[in-house]
Amino acid sequence: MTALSSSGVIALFATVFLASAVEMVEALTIVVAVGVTKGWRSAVEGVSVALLALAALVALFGPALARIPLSSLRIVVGTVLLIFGMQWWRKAILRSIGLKAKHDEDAIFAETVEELKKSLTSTRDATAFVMAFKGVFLEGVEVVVTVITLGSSAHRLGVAATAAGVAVVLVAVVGAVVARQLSNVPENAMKMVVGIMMAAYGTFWIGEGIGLHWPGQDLALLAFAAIYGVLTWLVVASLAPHRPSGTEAP
Amino acid sequence: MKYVRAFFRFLFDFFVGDTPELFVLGLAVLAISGTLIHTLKSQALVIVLLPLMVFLGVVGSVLLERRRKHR
Repeated sequence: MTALSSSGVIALFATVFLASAVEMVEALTIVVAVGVTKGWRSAVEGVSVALLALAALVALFGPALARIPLSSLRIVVGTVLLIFGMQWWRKAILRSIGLKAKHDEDAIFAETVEELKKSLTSTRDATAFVMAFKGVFLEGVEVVVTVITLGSSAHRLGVAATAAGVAVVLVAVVGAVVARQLSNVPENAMKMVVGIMMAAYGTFWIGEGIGLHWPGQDLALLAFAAIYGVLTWLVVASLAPHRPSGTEAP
Repeated sequence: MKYVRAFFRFLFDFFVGDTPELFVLGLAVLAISGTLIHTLKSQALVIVLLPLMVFLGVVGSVLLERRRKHR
């Protein structure tokens, strides 16, 4: 098996970066809500324990994946990515055509704050700790799965881990600066791109795993992403409710 | 036992969630493509069919949800 070409590496980096950034925006919303409402001590403790648990997961499953034969790994990883990708892709289409509410970080922030206000206040707050832990751990698991699956099947675990690391740091820095303006992140567009890219990777790896020789080798990945993107645009355009000209979308 | 059950519940939500049709589709795409390539030995057919099944599956799931909402 050949390693990915430079276009393949860029596509891998972009996919992992976007997927990680989206997950981290969701985690950061919860952590900021916990920090603002209950103080930063419990929030930082929850985040720290979640990061340790995620590191343990990587240490446990990362080396094990290296021992699986590549074609089997690509079939399993391709199927997982395809299922994940199709779920993200479907949700993004539903949001684009108005059949599903857009992910509202402001609403999640307000909801988390309300929930936290109900719990008792103390220096070390168990509810705040658990919420920060859950927020980071659950979103982090998706990042870990993305990094391990995409990175190991492309033999570029370092590139995938770097992309996720850059995304986490960038979102944390931006989050620290803008704190409560996370709703301005164009999350649905990012999720659409990630969903399509994951489905493209899934299609590609399943094909490679069963012994298919894609025309153009890993350039087929970009072709899938482009074809899926154009077809999605057509689907969204035909299913979106028509609004009279001059009126704004809700 | 409680934690084992919670772990499997988490896995189920993670992979299946509220779209069991996409979970089944993912496995069906693999099974159909694998069968075709090993029985018919036709690379060209699978090259066209594999991405087509994926796209039509997603659109089908979207239309299913649309029908559910409009009922």
